[in-house]
Amino acid sequence: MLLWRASLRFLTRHPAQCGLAISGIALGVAIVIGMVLTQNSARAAFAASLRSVFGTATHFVVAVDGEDFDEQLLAQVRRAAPTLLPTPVLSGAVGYRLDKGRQSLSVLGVDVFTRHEAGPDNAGIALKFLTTPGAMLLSASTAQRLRLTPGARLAINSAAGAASLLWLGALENNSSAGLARGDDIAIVDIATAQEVLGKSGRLTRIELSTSASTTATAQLAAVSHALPRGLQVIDAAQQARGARNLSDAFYTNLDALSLLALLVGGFMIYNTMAFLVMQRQMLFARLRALGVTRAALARLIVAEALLLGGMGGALGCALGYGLATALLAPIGQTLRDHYAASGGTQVVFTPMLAALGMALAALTTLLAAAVPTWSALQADPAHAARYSVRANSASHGLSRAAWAALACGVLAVVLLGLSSRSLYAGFAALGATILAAMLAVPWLVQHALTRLARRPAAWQGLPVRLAVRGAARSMGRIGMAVAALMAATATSIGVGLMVASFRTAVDDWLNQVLRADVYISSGFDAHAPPRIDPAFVTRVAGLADVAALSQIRRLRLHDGERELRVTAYELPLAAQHGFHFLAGAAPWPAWDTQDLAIISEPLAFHLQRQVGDTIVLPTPAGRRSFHIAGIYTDYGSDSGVLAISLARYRHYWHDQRVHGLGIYPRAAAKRAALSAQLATLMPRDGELALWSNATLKAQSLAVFDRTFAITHALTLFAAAIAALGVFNALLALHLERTREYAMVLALGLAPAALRASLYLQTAVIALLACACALPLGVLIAKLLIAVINIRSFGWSMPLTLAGPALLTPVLGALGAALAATVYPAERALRIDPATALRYE
Amino acid sequence: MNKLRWYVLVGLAAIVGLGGAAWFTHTANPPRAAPDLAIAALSTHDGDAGFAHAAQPHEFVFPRDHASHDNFRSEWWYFTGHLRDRAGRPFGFQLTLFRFALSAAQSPSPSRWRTPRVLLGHFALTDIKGRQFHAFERMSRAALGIAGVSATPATVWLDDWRIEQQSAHGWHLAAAQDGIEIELQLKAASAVVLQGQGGLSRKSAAAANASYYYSVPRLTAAGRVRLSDGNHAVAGQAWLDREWSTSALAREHAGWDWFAVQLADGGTLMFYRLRQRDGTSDVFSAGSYVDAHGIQQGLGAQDVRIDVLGRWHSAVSGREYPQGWRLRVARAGLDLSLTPRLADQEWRGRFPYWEGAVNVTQAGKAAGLGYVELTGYGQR
Repeated sequence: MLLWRASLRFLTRHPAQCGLAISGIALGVAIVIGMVLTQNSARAAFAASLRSVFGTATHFVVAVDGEDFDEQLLAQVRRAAPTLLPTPVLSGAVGYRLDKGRQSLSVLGVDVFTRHEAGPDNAGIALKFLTTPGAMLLSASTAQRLRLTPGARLAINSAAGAASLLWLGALENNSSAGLARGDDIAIVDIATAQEVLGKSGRLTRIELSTSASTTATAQLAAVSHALPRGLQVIDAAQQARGARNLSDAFYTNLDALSLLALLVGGFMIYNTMAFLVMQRQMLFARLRALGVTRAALARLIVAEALLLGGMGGALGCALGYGLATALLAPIGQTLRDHYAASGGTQVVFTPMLAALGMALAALTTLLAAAVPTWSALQADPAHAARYSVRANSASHGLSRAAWAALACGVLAVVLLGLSSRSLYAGFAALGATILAAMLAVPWLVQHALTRLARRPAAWQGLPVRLAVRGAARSMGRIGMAVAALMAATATSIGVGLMVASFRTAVDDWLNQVLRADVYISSGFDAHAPPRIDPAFVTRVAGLADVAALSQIRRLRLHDGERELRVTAYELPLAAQHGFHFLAGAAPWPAWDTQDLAIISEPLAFHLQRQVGDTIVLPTPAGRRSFHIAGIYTDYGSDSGVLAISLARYRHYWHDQRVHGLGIYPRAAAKRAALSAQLATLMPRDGELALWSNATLKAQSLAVFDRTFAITHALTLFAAAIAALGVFNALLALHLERTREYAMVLALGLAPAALRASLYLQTAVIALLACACALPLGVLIAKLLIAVINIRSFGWSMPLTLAGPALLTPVLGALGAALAATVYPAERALRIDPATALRYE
Repeated sequence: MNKLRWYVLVGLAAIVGLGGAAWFTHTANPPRAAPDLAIAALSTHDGDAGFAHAAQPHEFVFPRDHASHDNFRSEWWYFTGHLRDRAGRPFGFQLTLFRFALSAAQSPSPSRWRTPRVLLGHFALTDIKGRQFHAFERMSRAALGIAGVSATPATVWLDDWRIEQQSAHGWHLAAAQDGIEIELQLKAASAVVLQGQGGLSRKSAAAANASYYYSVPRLTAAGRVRLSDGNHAVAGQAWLDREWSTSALAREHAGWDWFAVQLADGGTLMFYRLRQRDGTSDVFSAGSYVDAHGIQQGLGAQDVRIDVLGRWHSAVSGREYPQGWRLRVARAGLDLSLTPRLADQEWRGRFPYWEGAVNVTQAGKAAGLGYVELTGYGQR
């Protein structure tokens, strides 16, 4: 009874400390819940968009070259395999303007009479969907992003010219239909799709479902048999799997970042609980002396931990929800930029997740409380009541930690040696490295400080000596916080360096590869068919100021399990210099005459192919082997690209049209004059767009920066948690030492000198932590670049030691540590020495 | 006492946590089955404007009226029948092609899919001896030549399922899927029966809620049936129901039970019972009895007494249907028992219903054959 009252009184009398404890737990839980929620939502959205795009189909009939084909084929397929429920699909993209920027919207044209599509409760909407040209179904969240209200039209642009799509209204309010409907896809009737995409009579694919049929294999064979040349049946599940694999590395990276934040958060919770227990060592000692058993005290502390854990957990869930809501938009944008997928716009919080948050909070808090509780209860009551600072036993722990650090370091090396491809092994090695550093740092710092303290230099006044000794002695107590600060700083440095190096590499690559002055391409749709015909090319080449042209034709080939992106190039000399070969020689002399291919670095990594290998491409003329002549740098696609000569492409595919032109002006040409000449040639329907070299570069870098915005945000979050942890630890340290300070003051030390000593102490600790963080940061960057990036995306790049990336986290850490000293130091100085000493 | 506090504290923590969880999840709705967009579009009667309605009596002219009536929203060619091969093996069949129009007008478009006309096909073969019900559903817009209707001679097709009028009252039917196939020549063996008031069949008190409805209740059938064990030359009798309208069931109707009986004495009976949502029969339930001499009697709701003799529960769809009926038509001196020739003749496509071949007896003696259609069951 007395015990519980004492506990409650303590907690209610120290609301600030309670608040700190709860906020520490909350932040730790928040980051985990936030990341889980964000990923769940993004993955659910992705699955939904896959469902929307692929339906329940098991197989597709597609053109070998990935282009659209004559719809009349559907009648044949229906005859050959009616039981496979053949259904036509025409997909594409249209452009629209939002905030003065041009964006693209995927359009999926379906035939609801042969493909089940979830409908609205309001049958009138269903009828309008089928009878009103331009009517579309769109998830409410996407409509909101596009700022559409029900019944409003979205002005769009496509090959067919300007048109509009009508949003019929939200379907998901009253049914589960919305859950199944993907974001960022406008589902339209196939007639509307043909109209707005300008593809009358064309289909992208015919979907087949074998699930309903017992004679599926025979029917599939019948379909294959009925197909004309240039068309094939492919497995839809493999197709979807391929799409899913694309973004897996992205999610793994997010996972790793949130685990890192959890690690930092865990240390923070440990600090908090240690502080709460340690502060009351005297009280506990007195209670023990009064006859309270250890078990009763342990129960008390466990109950406190659970209470704080529960409150922190609930708060953490709320914070995590907010975090997820805030992160969804940038993550969604990144997924849209790179993977043509949506991040989802709806965060769905489940009771299961709340339970996870609470359990995480309770478990971490209990674990964190266990260590300080054990040490508090082991203390001989008489001794503990007399003297409370017990740094000695903690320093034994430090040397044990040093051994553990060594073990972690060895583990990291072993993990790296174990596999050269596993991303998980890469992350585990990275984690082990950081953990090793965290364990080693308190020990290192203490050693450094002890050395300093042992040899007082002539310049060291009393405040300096006090500071150094104080810091050295406190390592056992605040070592964890210092380690967390160091880890957060090092991670910031590492991630910052990696991003800076990446950006430099991309920038260099863009400068090298974008050699033409002006580009002409289908403006907004990467999946659009080629729109530039030979006549147009001749007209452009005939302009007085044009010296040379490069031509590019993109296609997607389906070969077995994966979709292969192929680019066919016709390159003038200037453009050929834009390729940087990592392996193999420049293939240009035989480029147009032999079946040569060059593959981008990520493709070489994914396919595990080398120079000298061959790769078989399905062409309309049958399967052809291409000899891999080189591997080149390309940051444009993380799934990789295979490049062949445009002349060879035309030889096999008999297709003259191209997607884009690069225009190389004559030396004397004026850019303005060239642009004016080109503008007169451009078709008026907006199908083609002119891009200047600078615009393309700027857009590419903008996408890059958007991609890493989340990484920055998460690193900052971890740093904020670390700063709060330092604050907590310093507060604990200074509270613990209140009487010591009072004694020094009573002995005649000027308050100003004590203040200087306290700030100095913090500065020394923070500087030492940063000194450790710098090399670790560089190591992390190296690991991220040489291991994680390669294994996630297949991209290699040199490490750039960028000044801002190195220094900003260091300055931030120092600032945070000093700021965290203000309150504890001023509090320590405010205490009346007489009061503080009375208990001695 | 300590323990009590302990529990209180833990409980408090749990309440805070669960409260938080509840706060987050309170907005979540329980999921519901999503409606089918195509069915929703075909079922709605929004935008009936522009369509003709079955309001006035119609002057039936054949073969013209065998063909499509495009100015009405929906129409069907509904063939059912009983066949036997040379060894006497019995089969039931159904071949129905429905025509729907999504709108009365068609907007101009370069896309061939921009057509309001949609065809739905139901093809079933009941292998009574093999106790198998083979049922296939197809749907398509009247586009790309995949499906369509044409007038002279009346032809309706959906891929290779075809219903073709061949002479004034002769038909050719063909349908095949998954190794199940029928190909039949039909020839009218009875006169056309105009249902309702001279072919105007009122379904409710609302004036517009009516259809034009005629039947050819007896056609001789000859041709072949193909199953997994090969071809069977068959012969038998079929029934044709033709109906077109712009209205559907009234809101108060849950569904209908439709009975078509070919009596051994040469007479035929058709009766549909419109079931209200409370399970009772609507007064607009109606039918007709044509005796062996071809004399037709209109039947109203009060003329036919129907008793359900049993129930059948579909393990697949979870729906429950009546199974076995006693039909008493005092005015015609009929007291018939109808028993399904196979319990499971359930359609499990986009429109779930039961339609199947039945045996007809009177006073324990075989009195004919029939088909029964049951819609609107099992939905709550």
